[in-house]
Amino acid sequence: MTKSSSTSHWDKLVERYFEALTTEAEERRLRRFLCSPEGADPRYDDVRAVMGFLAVGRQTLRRPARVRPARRVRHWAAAAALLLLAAGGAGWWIADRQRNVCVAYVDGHRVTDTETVMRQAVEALDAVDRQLGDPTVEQQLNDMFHTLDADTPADAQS
Amino acid sequence: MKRHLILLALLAVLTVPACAQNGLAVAQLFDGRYKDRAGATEVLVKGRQLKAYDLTLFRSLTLRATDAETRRIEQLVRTDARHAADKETAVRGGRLYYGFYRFPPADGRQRYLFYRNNALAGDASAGLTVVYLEGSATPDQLKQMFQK
Repeated sequence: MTKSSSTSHWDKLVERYFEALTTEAEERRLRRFLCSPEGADPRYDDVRAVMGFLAVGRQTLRRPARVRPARRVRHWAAAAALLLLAAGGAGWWIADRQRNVCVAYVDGHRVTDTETVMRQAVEALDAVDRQLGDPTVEQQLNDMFHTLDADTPADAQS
Repeated sequence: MKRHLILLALLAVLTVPACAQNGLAVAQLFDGRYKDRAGATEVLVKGRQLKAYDLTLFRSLTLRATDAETRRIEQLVRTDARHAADKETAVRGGRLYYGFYRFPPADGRQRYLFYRNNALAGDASAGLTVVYLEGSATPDQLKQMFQK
């Protein structure tokens, strides 16, 4: 085959390609030609561009669409972090409620106002406070011994 | 099975601090039986509000009690008094009028019990008061607290 007849063959093949008349084998041969030095002619740029675009499109369609694993892991990690944060916050709140309590029951009524509860606490402390005038243990003992001395006859004390 | 045992051990450790007061006979006075009672005042304070006083727990009960109730409560206090490390008491007419008791520390916390039956001072309407305290406050600090 001469060069001119070879060129004419490829031109006809390009023409058939654009008319969608080429077979799969002919398209493969044309693709190989366009990648070769002989096919580097600028007049084949159009067909080269179309075939390249279609090849990329074909590859994209062949590849199954799937979620990137890294993104899915990030989603689960974020959900787990939020859950832990919520659980931690709830746990801290519950523990705080249990650690810090300020409540009084006055005449059957529940009181949670801090000022009122603390006032009741102070009143309870006042109620148990040993007041002036109350006899101490020492005073009570002294009273007992003085009573004994007074009751014991004078000659029995010596 | 192993997990259950570990969980049980953890629960046991966590409940130990809560038992410091429950080991006393007077603990039953604070089990909620007087919450709805007219003429009774029960106070429970824990944590933040007591920090300034070096206390961790404050419980009190003031009650206009019947004679039978007074005798029962007095008996509870006397039962606990047997285990006190320090005590200061006053008696009137054979009845416990005033009691201040310090118990051996539990879990590093000092424990105090106060009792006073003001009805024996001639004021029948005053009733009796029981106060239980826990914390790191010393007896001197408590005395200063009373004097304020």
